[in-house]
Amino acid sequence: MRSDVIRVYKTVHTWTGIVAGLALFIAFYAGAVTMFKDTLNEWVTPPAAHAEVFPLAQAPAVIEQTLAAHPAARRQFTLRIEPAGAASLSWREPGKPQRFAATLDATGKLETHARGASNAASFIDVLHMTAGIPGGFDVGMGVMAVVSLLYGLALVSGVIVLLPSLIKDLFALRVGKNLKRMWLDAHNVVGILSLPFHVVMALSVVAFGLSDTIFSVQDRVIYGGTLSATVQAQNPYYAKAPVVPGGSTTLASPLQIVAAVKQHAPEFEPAELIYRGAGAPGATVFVGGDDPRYLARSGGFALLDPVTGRVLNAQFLPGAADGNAWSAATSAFFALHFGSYGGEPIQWGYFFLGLAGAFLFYSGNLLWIESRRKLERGTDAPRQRHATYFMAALTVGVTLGCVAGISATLAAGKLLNGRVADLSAWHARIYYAVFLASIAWAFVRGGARGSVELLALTTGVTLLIPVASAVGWLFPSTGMWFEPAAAGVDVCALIGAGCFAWMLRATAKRAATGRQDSVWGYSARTR
Amino acid sequence: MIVDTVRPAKERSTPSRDWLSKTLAGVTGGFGLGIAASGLLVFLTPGAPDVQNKFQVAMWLVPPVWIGVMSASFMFRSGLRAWAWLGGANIAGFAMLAFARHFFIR
Repeated sequence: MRSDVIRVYKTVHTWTGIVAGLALFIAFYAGAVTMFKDTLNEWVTPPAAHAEVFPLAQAPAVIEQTLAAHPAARRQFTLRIEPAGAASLSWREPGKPQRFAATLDATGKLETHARGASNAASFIDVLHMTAGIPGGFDVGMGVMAVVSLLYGLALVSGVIVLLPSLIKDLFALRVGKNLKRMWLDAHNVVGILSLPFHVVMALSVVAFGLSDTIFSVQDRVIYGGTLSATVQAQNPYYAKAPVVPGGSTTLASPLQIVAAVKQHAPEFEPAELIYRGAGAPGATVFVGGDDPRYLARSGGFALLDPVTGRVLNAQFLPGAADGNAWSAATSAFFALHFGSYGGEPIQWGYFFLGLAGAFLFYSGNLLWIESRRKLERGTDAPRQRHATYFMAALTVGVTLGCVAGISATLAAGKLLNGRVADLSAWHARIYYAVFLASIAWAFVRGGARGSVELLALTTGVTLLIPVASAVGWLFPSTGMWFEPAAAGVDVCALIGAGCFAWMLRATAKRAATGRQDSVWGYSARTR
Repeated sequence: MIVDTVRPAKERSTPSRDWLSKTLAGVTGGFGLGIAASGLLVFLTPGAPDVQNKFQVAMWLVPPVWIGVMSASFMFRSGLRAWAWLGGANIAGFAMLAFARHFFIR
């Protein structure tokens, strides 16, 4: 390929990467963590909440009494199918942050419990979708869609730049004196080997964030104004069951609903039933679950009439006979983004691909800085450009601030449980406090000192996660607890903290003994 | 694009020229082509335009076309050429869409 073409794509790669990289780092790190959202939820759920279950066979009685006593549950309530033939029922009261759960006592009387459980996992999920950009969910998603357009450009241009030397460079990781070469080799090999994953992410995030814009343009130039009616008629989440005048509104038992879904798709395992408008004409029940054999949207789901058990929409029910090819393709687009197929191996695969993606963006920023380095000549360490000091501080502040903030806010889900009134507000406060303070710290101390000190912080707060569980196990009187089903979170946090400690050692060593004509040397000025 | 070896090196148009103009041409032209391509998908594939979830696939077709065209826009020798080619491609795309809509709908 012509060298001037390569040069222009190198410029495109550099500038799209530097603009999009840090937002993508946050999205990928938080996204990797979000792959285990359910386990994180287990980790922050106090043991008392595990008592809020009842045998699935009791569900009709619990539902009936809940609907009679709590009108808010009629609008929407969730019946979760728990392990070992149990179930739990919860709903939201307007104006209250926590959910409420219902069970029956020994005499068959309804008992309600306010759930204090933390929403740390959802907070991290939203962080993943918006990179924590202020201004609300839609603004964050819109910004991330534009970031993803740049990300797509960066992927194409990066591949074009690498193509001429692909065979030579791909399997070479030149560890040695030339640190820039080593980082570049690592950046290239991670980028090329996980390219399909990145293509999926770039394209899907543009679709998620800009779908409303694309739909409104398509409505005008393709569908002649009929699109919103089509979208509404095919909405797989919300619909109204056909209303029969004078018909019954008595709900069928959840077991009958599960049986109706299973009749449609025998291998599908329903996990939760979300009832909307129960007790009124037109009620629906949304059945979500999983069949790991399929590329299914969110694991797969169907919408039914909770009175008759008739299926209203099964387009996204994996293995159902009445789905069409367009629905299957749509399922695949969603599934490929969320990793909602193939069960645990894919979950772990996406986790490591997500972390590798975070590394890709971090190393991209490092390479940007290294490419602008002024080399040492003579005795004086040269003053580097302002832009490189700035970028060094911003890169370590944002990346380590994000990692430390996520660890801190997750640990707070256990440490602060029962100690503060509004835990979900605390999750946001803690994350943003750690994140913004880390950025400020990196600018005050400079990239070199900042990176070492912030790695110490990251190691420390990540250790808080297993420490909170260990304290809960040894001293249950503290109000903390150890949840064996979520021990993986503690183990991963411990391994993560070990990795951060190793990075801390390597970074400190480099800052002290590495070349000082660099923004990463201790003798570097802060700006 | 084709290398023009006759002219001296200094005057030769290079891909790095007019990057802003090319970027804007790629962003707008790419979006337009994405929409036109999705419209052709809607009308030229089997089934009515409102068959279950066809609209979803049509929406999902836009980002790859858009990003592909944006990426390719830097190959043009000048910003003007980028606008001319992509503008022409858009006119062709939407003309095909108008034909497809006329002949295949109803």
